[in-house]
Amino acid sequence: MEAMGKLREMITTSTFEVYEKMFFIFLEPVERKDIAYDMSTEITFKGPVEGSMKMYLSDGLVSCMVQNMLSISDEEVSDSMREDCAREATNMVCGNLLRNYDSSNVFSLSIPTCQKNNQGDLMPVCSESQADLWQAVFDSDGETLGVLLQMQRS
Amino acid sequence: MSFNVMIVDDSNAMRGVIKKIISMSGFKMDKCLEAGNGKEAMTLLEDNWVDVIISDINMPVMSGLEMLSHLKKDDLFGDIPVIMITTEGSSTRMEEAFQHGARGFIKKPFLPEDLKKILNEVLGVCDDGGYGEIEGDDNDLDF
Repeated sequence: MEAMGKLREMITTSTFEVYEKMFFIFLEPVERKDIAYDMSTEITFKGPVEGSMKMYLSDGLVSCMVQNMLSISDEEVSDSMREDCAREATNMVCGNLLRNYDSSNVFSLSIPTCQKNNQGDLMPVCSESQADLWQAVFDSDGETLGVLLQMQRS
Repeated sequence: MSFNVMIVDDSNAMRGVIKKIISMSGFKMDKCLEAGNGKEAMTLLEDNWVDVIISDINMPVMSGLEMLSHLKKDDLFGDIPVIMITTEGSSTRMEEAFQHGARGFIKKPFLPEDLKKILNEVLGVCDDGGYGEIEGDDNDLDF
């Protein structure tokens, strides 16, 4: 159970590592929780623990990720590139987190899915009483990223 | 000497970034083929020779491990070295990949130098582009 207590820290570490190494984006953790987003992704996992990771991303952040990842200009960024890039980021952050959580066991990860947020919904806020939910929010030059992890023992 | 590389990943963006990282690393790449899953890779191999395959594990249609099994059963393609790229790099998963015939393993996210190192290792190339001495008979990597 000790590792469970460190999950919020692990989300931050894994997110930093993936965004810095693969997207050359430096994130800053923020306390704000009620963030607006343009796109959300989800990946599920099974293993000694099971659950899901969701990411809530602003359009500006995803565009920057695609541009940095593929060395292309803003005009060249397409919707399919944005979705592909956001899904891949979710896959990498989740895989990295699970490796840090328990490197001795195998986890089976789903193919990540992606949805646009056309209704202007805000990222769900998890309360202190939700023991199997962890949340982290980041900022990069005014663009936002939210990560929501749900995990329980199998 | 330059090498033909095949990148197998269901993410178009990831294939693009792997290709970019290989170029950034200074590895001598000639042709670069891309496939979206193991099945597409097997089809491409029918008409193209590659020196090394870099493949994701978790893919739809045919996974990286399934592709490895198909390759190892094939007389012509069985010796092509395959480097697995994955996010979930547990020791058990790595052992599983090596048992299926993978020659190297790299965990996402990775740096250009990490990829160049593993490419050089599996191809037996020194950093200067020449061939190095390889210990052992089968070039297996320690992990």
